[in-house]
Amino acid sequence: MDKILQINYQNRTLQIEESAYQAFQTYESELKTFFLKEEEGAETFADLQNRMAEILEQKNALSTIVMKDIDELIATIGRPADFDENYTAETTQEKKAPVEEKRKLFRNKKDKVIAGVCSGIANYFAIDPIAVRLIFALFSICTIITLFEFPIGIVAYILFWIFLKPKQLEINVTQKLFRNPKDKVLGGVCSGLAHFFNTETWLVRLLFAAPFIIEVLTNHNNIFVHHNIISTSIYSFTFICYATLWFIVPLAKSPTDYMLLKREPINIATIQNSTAMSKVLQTSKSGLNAFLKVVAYIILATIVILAIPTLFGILTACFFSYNVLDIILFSTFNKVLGILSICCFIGLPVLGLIIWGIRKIGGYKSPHIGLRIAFSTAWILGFISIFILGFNLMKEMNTYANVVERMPVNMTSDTLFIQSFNPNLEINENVVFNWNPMNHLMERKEKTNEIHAVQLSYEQSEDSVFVVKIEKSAFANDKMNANQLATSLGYEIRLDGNQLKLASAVSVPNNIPYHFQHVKVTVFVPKNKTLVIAKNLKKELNTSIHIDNHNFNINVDDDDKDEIYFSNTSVISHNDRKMEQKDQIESATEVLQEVKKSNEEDIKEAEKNLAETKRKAELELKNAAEDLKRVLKDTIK
Amino acid sequence: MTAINTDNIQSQMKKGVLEFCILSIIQRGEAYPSDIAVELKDSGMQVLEGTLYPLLTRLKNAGYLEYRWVESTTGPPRKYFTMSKTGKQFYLSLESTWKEMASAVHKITKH
Repeated sequence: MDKILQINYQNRTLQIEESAYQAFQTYESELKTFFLKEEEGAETFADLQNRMAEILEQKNALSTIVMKDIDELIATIGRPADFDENYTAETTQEKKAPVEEKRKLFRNKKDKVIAGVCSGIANYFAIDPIAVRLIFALFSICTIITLFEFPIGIVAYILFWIFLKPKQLEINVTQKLFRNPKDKVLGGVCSGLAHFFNTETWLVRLLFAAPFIIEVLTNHNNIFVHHNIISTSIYSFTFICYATLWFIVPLAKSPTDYMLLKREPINIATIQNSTAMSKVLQTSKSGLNAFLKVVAYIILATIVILAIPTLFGILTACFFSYNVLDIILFSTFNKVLGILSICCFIGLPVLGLIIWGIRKIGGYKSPHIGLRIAFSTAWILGFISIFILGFNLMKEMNTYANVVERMPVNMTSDTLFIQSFNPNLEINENVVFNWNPMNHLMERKEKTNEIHAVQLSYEQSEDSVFVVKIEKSAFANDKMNANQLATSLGYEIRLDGNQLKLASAVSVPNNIPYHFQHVKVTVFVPKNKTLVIAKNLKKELNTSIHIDNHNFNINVDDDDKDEIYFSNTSVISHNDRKMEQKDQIESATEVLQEVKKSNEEDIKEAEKNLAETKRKAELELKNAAEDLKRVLKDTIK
Repeated sequence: MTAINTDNIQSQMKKGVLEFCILSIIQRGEAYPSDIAVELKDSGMQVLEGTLYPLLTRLKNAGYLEYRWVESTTGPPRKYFTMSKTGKQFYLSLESTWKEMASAVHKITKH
């Protein structure tokens, strides 16, 4: 008993005995070499393949195909030697002459989108109709948009439509643009184009994918918000191109199509491929299936596009904050676990995704199964190590402790200015170039690590003097150790007149791990006194010193203000203060003017009074003089 | 030499008639190649499908035939052939030639 094979021929699944299959394959290739000698033979051969599939399927419906069935098939179709070659040869001669003569421009009735004009032109020049259609469409659109604002393409098309006679035209090209179902990522457009232009598939894919890749690399923060109109238009253009080609270019369906697509010299090797080809064709047959596949690809692509930058970001963050991680992990065991976690758990997926993308674009085969197992094992190892590390760190830092220190500020002024100074910068002043991208996180020194972990807040108080509370805290495995860690934390405060200077970093001794030790400074502001946060501190608020002021509404984001004022009755901003002053000035001016006005009135009245008095005095003087005269006259008399 | 000649003449005779017969079957209505082959065979005209198919392709390419794909319940879609207008004219001219020839041959061979 012969071995029974399950084969796929022309989209049909057939059970066939091995020897019968071999005989059939030999016969098919015989036919192929015979028919493809001639120009028209490809179509005949495809028809015959179709017919043979039909016969075989009918036979298969009864039982497995055996040698006898193949013999019967050959008897029906005949061997090339039995074909009337004389007949064929002579007819070709007879028929060919008039066909050659009739090579005129027609509209193609057989292969048309609107009226077959493009297809006819393509037939005349013996080129692919799709190329003509694309050129024609592009030409029409371009002329409408740019040159004349006149639909010259459409008018030309209508004229061709009127003047050309319709005719059934046959494919007369050796190569056509098809979408390639055998080698595809989405619709097989790139692969088809690559075959058409005789280049590498990955090159075409890269060309199509490049705008998206560049977009992801340059704008990985928000992929879905486009700021750059040029990049947006470029990749929407590529997207439209791909979608258009997907829509208008037919999928290679029959082996004949496939040969036209591949422009392959037709030989036995290609024929043998055709059975494998049929298999692929069947898988891509169902429309729903294809749709689901596209949806799955889109989801997958989105995940990849989002995952790569995220993982990459984590990786870079880990790389740049290695010094902080170093002192957090501290013990060698933890460090090994940390490296394993980063490399295997985060690094490997990044690498894997990149390789997967390249493979998908380049159409390379899947990696060896051993490599896959190694990859998966390493990733699981990373997962385990990240789990152990997390557990370890949690155990090491499960208890919290803090040390509180209160310090009254002795000064005479009603206003306290708060500034900050960076202990790291002061010491490193002589260093010309100090490359440390994570400078705002920490700084390493000989015996200590300076870490920017300072918090600042204010509270109202009933005291009569300013009080600064310094709260050092740390995490450890028990209360005692946590306390010890907190106590060992170095933090510097300087008081210079009414200027309180806070260090922007705490120093942790080198020989102990960093268990999120941090300092919280609280300034208690007495009644009717003011706290001013200096400009330099405000700059650092968002980076080094964290401001915790939920008790008071101080808007630190307002860049207009150089300083932030706080007094224990209300919060006054610089601007508010100006306003107040302005108000005061205004009211003062008002008062002044009022005073001035009333003064003027007084003066006027006084003047008036004076004038009257003067007049009265003059009158009296006159009367007196008159009286005197009369007395004198009387006396003389 | 003689044998080859006989073969050649026989095939020459068959060839012209075969084309006419095929066109005659198709002009009656849409036809599937293997049905044509069966009909020819039943009428005593042996023809291989391997000969029939290229012939149909040529006739179609010459514009005499048209075809359409028809879904089949038993197998792959089938190519059904019909006659075009020019094909009909071609057939009619062939028919008249055949009738003239047949009657002439009949008359001649009767004696």
